[in-house]
Amino acid sequence: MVAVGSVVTSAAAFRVGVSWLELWVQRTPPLTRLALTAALGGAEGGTAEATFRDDLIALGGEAVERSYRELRRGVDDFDRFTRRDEEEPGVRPHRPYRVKL
Amino acid sequence: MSGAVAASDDVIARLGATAEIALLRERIATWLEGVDDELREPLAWALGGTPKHFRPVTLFACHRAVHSTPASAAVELAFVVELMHNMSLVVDDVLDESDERRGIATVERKFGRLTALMASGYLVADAFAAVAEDAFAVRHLAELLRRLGAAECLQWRLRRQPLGVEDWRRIAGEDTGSMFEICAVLGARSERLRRYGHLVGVLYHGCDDVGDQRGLEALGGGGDEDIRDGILTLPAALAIRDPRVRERFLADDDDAERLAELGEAFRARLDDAERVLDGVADSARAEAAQFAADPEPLLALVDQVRQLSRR
Repeated sequence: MVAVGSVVTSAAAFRVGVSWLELWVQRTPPLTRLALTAALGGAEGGTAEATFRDDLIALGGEAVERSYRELRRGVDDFDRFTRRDEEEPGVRPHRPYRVKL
Repeated sequence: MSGAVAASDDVIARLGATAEIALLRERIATWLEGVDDELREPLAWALGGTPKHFRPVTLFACHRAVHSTPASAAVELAFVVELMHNMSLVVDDVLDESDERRGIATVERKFGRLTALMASGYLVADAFAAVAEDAFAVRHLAELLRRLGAAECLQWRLRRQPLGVEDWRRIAGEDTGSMFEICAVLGARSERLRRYGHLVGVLYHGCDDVGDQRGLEALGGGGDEDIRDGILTLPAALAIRDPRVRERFLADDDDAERLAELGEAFRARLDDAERVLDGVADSARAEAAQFAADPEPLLALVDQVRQLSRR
């Protein structure tokens, strides 16, 4: 179980890392452009600043969401890999004595 | 059969929930026979019109996605969700002073404010009574009621403020999102699909916002009232990135010219809004693919909800 736990944790951490990297590669160039436009000011500066704020928060939110999803996936994997295939039925009687009703 | 009913039934059929929705309608009809005579007509009116049943359909889809038992086993839960949803609509219409809902007069316009408020209380009481023996359902219905109340206050407090798309997500997530979340939790009878339900709710809310601006009747209308009240819809959140639009959005008056300009500015951002909604739909699909034993009903539901802004 310790070995399975280690493998599952490593795999989850790897997937979180890859998904974060993918996200940053996709989002960094447009964010940089927006930051530059906002810094230069002018007619488009105000709109770019508000868009940058929205997109930066969205990036953070999506990074958290992807991490959360991968962590839950890791927990599911651990559960699946460590569960016994078939639960043996309990020996009858399930309750050794009657419960007074 | 009216066009709206046919369209609604067509969506239900495409999602494979015709039999379950028929059982739900029977359950509602039976319930209406047993309600107090004094409130039977307003309650029947509240549940009338042409409901789309997206919430119970979500519950049934989540049930099918994780259980092998027939979704008809979840009809009682769908029934209480429908009661709670209709309660929220009656209260919304009182607060918004709306004239129509689902193509007919609102309960308040038809029967008066007192009757509307008492009917909403009756709906909540009977929802809890119907699942009194089911502690799991009671706990989650209580959560839903708390969150809907807080969301209504949040949305009102945040009107006419210079906020952004992520603030809109927060409002949508607590308002419509909480309802769909609870549908997903009740349908799956676990927390497994909670996030999926949340995202479908946000998607539905966003499609509603966009549909309103496109002047669509599909989701009930209400775009003009939102502009007048300074409600942060998705197109509004995108449009007020422009400082000039933001300035007009923050004003508190009924100037027709200002409201018309805002409407135009919001409609100019509909393509951007559709892109945001595509992102939400993709997240919902990723959740379904990851956490459902059979993701097909959930993916089909996302596709149907996504189309609501374009009908």
